Amino acid sequence: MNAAQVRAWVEKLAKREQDLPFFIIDGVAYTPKQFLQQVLSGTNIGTRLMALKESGKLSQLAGDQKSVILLRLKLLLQSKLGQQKPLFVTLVNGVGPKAYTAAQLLDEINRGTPVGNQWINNEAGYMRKLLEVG
Amino acid sequence: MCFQRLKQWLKKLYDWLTEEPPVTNGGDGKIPANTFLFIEPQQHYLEYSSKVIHDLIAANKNASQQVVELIGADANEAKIKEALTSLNPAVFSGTGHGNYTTYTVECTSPFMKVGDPNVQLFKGRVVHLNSCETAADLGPALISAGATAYVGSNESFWFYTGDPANSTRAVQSPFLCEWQFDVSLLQGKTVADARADMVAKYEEELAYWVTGDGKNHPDAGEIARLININKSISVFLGEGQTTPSPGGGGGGALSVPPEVAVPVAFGATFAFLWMVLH
Repeated sequence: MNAAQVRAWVEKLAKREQDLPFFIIDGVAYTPKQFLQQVLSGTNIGTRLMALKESGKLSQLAGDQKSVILLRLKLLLQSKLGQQKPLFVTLVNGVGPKAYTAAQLLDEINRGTPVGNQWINNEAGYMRKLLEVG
Repeated sequence: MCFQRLKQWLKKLYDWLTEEPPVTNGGDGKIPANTFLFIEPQQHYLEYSSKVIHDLIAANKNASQQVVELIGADANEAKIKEALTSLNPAVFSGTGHGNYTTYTVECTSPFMKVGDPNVQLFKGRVVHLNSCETAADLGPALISAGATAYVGSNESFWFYTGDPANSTRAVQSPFLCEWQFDVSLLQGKTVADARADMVAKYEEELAYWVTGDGKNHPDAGEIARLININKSISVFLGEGQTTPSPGGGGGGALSVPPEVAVPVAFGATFAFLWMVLH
């Protein structure tokens, strides 16, 4: 893997995804853009990040992932927290709500409810899908 | 000699034009092919799903198919049961809120739940429930009751409501994936091929939001994620070799009535003879 390949991967991602934490090395999370900067600067971190990406992994330790996933979902939804209109709806029939504003969905995620866990459990697989883009 | 061959050819043409479509191969064998019943409630956000399938049906059905849509207030238990009897559909597809055991219709009114007699109405049919969680218990119960196949979700099915129903790709996208199954059945595909098309449509829509033209939509990240969730919780049960609508998509038997087939056959024969003689 080289800098041109890293750049091509980053540029294929949506702008918002480029700024979400993605890889973790030594307990520090790096966004795709930061990954590219490290590679372009020729740092040791950049080399290790390329190796991580080539191996198809998101972090060195499995336990690191949960905190990054929660941070990613928080950052994803935070720009819409003031919106009162429900943006996300389910087809569930039960006592709980069917429709969620961004703030309500984030609350479900933070509390680890079944609804929130659906998004948490999805995120690792979604990140792997992003990894395969380039 | 030449006349005999012409006669055989004429008979083959007539048979092809008038061939009765086969029945589905599940259940009691009496369910007519090319019959579809769609349940399209509108309230409690259900118009987001119903309006998409309504347009897809209009774009994909053909004259050989009998398609009944129960829309809005008509999506109620009495009318559904009436249509199940009168139409006797090979394919039953509905949207509605649901849970592990229950599928509901307009106004979240329960239509069927595990253990009740309505589950027995689906013997020999292909069933698609665009609803939450029904793949957990209700789907298996339908298969146990003799349904040929079932497609549904085993957790919460998500969609985006940032725009009015059916007005943008952003709000249509989760349902374009889900209803691809029915589009492919209307086009005459087997249940297994329709399921494969549905999975492929999920990938196509994901690609649109992740790396395609939709990737910089303000809510692309959320839309892509909820489509990825829906894909991961989609469940297929049952048998895939059935073709509920062999007359779909313009292939195979056309089921043209004799009053049309006879003139067509004679016209073709006349044209053939004219070509031979000239």
